[in-house]
Amino acid sequence: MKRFRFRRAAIAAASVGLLASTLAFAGQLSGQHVVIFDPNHLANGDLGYVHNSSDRVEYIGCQLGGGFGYCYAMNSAGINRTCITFDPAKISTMRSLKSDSYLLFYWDDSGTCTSVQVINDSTSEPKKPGMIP
Amino acid sequence: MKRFRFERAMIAAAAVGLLASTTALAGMLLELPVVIDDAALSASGSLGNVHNSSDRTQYIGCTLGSFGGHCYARNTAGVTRSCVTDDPDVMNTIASLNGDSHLIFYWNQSGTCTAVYVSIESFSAPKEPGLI
Repeated sequence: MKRFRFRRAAIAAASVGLLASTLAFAGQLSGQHVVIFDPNHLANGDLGYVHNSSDRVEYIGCQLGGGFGYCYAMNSAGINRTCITFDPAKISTMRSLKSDSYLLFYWDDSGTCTSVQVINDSTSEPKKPGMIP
Repeated sequence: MKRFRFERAMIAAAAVGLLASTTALAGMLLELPVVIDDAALSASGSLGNVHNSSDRTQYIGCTLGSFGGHCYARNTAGVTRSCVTDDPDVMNTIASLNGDSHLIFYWNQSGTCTAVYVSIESFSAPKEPGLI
């Protein structure tokens, strides 16, 4: 949850202009495993960090098709959550997903994505090659 | 059309879920070579895995241009399949393709892409440099 909190804090700080004059975050590197938080119906994690992890259970990502988007995640405990959307705005967000993005998605009881957020920034790590034996 | 898309979406989603559930014990780093299924009129593969493979025959990918979109694949046996599209939704999907995406495309008898799916996920491998 540390990464999640950091990003939430960073977003909140940016919203009031507190990041404009600070270099405190410059060069910061961070990574988050897949976190599923059912009370809030959310899943999140860093694609690159999760790929590089020695934990071979967790995964996270999205699939795009003609007019739909589908996101999925499994944490290290083997719990998986998914959502699907036909909303063009959310699909557009999913299109910005890269191999080293941070992905956060929310769902409702019907399995529909209620929110999708993608962060592409300097803090996340890329996938390391050669991880597949 | 919407129903068709929804059904396709659910099939694709189920395929992802099945893939994930059947490989959970084996790990979430997957090798996804080019697979051509003429019965299903589909081709699939992970661009990164295919690039990194010691096999120098297979490839998979798409092009986009003013003509529309074109997806193509060749498996290790040298079998090649491709499709073209001018459907804006399909072209938007093709535009989301990355160097380590997992690509699935379907075609019909006229060679038109009937569906294209692009997955960006943690378990696919990135391209390794220096292999050429």
